[in-house]
Amino acid sequence: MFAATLIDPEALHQIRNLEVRARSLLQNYLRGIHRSSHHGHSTEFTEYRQYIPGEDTRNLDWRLYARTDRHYIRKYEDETNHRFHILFDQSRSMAYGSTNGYNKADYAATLAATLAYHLEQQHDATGLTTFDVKPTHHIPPRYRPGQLRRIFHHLEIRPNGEGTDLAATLEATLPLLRHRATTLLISDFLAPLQPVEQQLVHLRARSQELIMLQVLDPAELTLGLHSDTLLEDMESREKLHIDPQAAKKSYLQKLQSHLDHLKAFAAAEDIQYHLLPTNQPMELALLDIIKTHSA
Amino acid sequence: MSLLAPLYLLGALAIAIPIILHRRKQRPDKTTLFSTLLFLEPTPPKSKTKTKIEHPLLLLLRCLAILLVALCFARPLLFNPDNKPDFRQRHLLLVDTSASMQRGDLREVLQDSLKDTIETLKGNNAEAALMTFDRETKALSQFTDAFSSLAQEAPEPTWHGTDIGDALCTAAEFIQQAPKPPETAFETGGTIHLFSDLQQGADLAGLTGKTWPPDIRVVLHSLTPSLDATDNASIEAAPALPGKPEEARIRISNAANSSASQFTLAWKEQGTEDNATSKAEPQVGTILQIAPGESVILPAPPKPDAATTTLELTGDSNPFDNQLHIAPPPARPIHILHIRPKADDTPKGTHYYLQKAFQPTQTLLPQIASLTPDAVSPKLDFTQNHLIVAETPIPASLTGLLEDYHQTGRTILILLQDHDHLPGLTTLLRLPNPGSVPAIPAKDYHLFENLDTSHPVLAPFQDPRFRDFSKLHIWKHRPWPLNMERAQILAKFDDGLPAMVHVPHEKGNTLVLTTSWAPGDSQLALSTKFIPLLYSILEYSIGNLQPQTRYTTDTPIDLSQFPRTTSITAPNGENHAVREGQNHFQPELPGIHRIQTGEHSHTLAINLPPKESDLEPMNVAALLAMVGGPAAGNQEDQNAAASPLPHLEASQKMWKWFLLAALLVLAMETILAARLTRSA
Repeated sequence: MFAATLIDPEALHQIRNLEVRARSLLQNYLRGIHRSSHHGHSTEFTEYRQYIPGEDTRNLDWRLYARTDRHYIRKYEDETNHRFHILFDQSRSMAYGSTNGYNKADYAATLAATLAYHLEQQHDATGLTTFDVKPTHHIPPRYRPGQLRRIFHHLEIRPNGEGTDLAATLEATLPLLRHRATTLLISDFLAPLQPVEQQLVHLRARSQELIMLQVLDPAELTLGLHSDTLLEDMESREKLHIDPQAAKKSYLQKLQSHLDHLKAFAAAEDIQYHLLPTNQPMELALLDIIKTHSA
Repeated sequence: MSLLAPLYLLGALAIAIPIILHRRKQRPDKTTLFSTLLFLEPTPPKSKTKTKIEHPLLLLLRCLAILLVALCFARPLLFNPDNKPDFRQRHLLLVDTSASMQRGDLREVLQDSLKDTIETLKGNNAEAALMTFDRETKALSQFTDAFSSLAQEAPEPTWHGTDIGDALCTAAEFIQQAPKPPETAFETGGTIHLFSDLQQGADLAGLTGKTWPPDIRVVLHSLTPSLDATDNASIEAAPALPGKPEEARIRISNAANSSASQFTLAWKEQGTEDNATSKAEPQVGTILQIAPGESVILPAPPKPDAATTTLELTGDSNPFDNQLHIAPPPARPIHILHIRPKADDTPKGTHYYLQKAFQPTQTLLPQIASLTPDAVSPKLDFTQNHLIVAETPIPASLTGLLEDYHQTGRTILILLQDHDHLPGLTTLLRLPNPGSVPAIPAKDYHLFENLDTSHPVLAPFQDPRFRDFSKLHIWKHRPWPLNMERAQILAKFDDGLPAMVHVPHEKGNTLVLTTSWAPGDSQLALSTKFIPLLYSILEYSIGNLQPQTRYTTDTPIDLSQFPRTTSITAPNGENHAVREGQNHFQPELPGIHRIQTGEHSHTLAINLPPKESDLEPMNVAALLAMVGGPAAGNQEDQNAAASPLPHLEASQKMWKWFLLAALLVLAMETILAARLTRSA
């Protein structure tokens, strides 16, 4: 099924157009792996559900009532279609990239676009909410012409947010998610987790499923600096002089602790978690996500 | 290898800079963006230096480049000090002995400067020669390495002017033409050490328009008196007013930078010693107020007695130019030879009127000699005469002497007399003999007409007031018998025949008067035209008759104005015998010179050249621009000029190779640095 070799992200990001990039990734490696059940309006119903008093009587199946004298409600298409909502981090830290030609935001955008493209082909409703310290753009999940174009458009916006306040963002985003949906949270999660955890629990409760994709640069995972450096925080603009040799050990320990904590939290809350270094092919993570939701 | 400017090698210490920079732990000067500092703690650098040198090859190249540039500035050269004969240099000590060097203690200053210079030349494989100059340049010694023989005593200053231009040119030629022993290798050219007070009155005209030889260097040693008194006034003779040559006039000038403005002018009594400190004892005389930078012309004060000849100015600090010697212009001896067929000194002849016409005056002392054919001898010499008046027939034996006389450029006046043949004249004029020349008697008289007053001989009659010849009757004249293309008729008679003819020669002229001033021929001798005509002919023969009134120690006395001069007595009483054929005499001292010419004695007042009184410093830059010398004559330049190293270094030009090597190293450094930057 996966005869083709994994594509190098650096080579993939040579393609400037996000849509082409997503289509190329999808058509070459994910072709035929998923044909989801069709839940749209044009399809036949999937099941009947007993009428609960107080529900809208327009949804009653009167023919069945005539035939069976029971009140049943036909499950409509929208209830059977998947809703995907992508929460996409566009804070400044996502603009960091030590790899040649692309950064974490490019990598995450490719990932989100590929998913959106795939879902659109399956007639799934896909939405997008971008954020930094607060939601910046919100596209409700829909399946309609132009939806994918709008998603691509907003994914291509360069990260220029002030910082990342994930907790505030999630708190502000929750009211926007009026329907249960599979929520895909793409971020680097380089922020204190304590305030976020509460919001993630709420999001998980409101979501059909929550998937956390943590995108990190290899240099962030290894502190790949060679000489004395005056580092500037991309979000807070704070400057710090470090000696990589001396600071590396402490940094890696703290980072690993942060990742372990996030991973443990995800497991505890039944949240699907993927760590995606930007130098690694993204197909594996995509396959996991798609296969999970194709089942 | 030697270094011409080793101090520049200190610049090599700059290699410490790249070494320090390469060992210095660099503080990051550029910030690096990072996604978050959440997991980082500050770790400042422990020390500012690193034990390990960063990029040692780059450091090596940078140090090498600095070292090469420093070497380049140090002007390296290949020089073996033990091989001195290869670079023997010649130094010419050119000493100013002009009159301005008489002031103050300039001679002692000159002596010290000469000694210092000679000391610097010793041991430098150099040889030197000594020359002095004032108006003329004299070589006192040839090039020698025996410096002790040079300038044991500073040359004594003279009373002449300063001709630096001619002196420098002569000195340069002296160096170039000095013999070079084949066993010794000499450096080309040489160095001229000019010792002078460099006063503005010095003459630089000799350098104008000449290309100074590039291998001759000039080092200026400007001499200044210990007590450099700037106040200086000078006195000189001023031109006489027209028509009053006997009235002496003087010009007194005060220097622009002078501090004195009051001076005293008085005649100096005969026999009074020169008073160098005349300022201390002002003589009784005319007190003058002259502002600095101004000059006045005034008549000389009346002489106390006829023997007094010197005016003296007092009141300034430089008395060397404060005397003016005044003497009446000398009467110029004029020798006139009258060649006549027979001795006739009666009023019927021409000689009588000739003697009457040429009488002694204040400026001329005519002496008329007579020569008849019977007195002709081979020992005769006509060349000393200023004018020859010859009456035909001219003996053929004299034509050779007359032709020699023509070579002096002077004039023969020929009076045509009745005669059957003109052998002497035709030989003189190189024409065939026309035969008999009978006189043409007039019925009553003839008159002069058609006078060519544009000719110098008749120019005195150009004014209409003097052009009336109608009262001058000619009783008898002779036809001009010779048809000559080169003859110019200056005047005619009223019958159309030539009266005066001018025949030019290669040198000299012949004037032919077809009548004479004998009373039997014309009224010329008794007319007012006679004396002006004779003096005009005399002036046409010998030039300007006006006497030279101003003589300086720079102007040789023209002895041709004083024929038969036997001796000249200088003011110091020294008697100079004049050789036969000597045309000039160079006075060495200012003062009254007495010229003895046979039985006559003439006095000449010789004074200092006025330019010597201009003591302001000359424009040294202009002088150096003409000789391409160093900017100043200080000790460092002198030592530099004395050393052969600069010229050797200039010929080797090793600095160019060091500069090229430095550029190559810098190019390599640039390439390497670019690669390291890229790799980083």
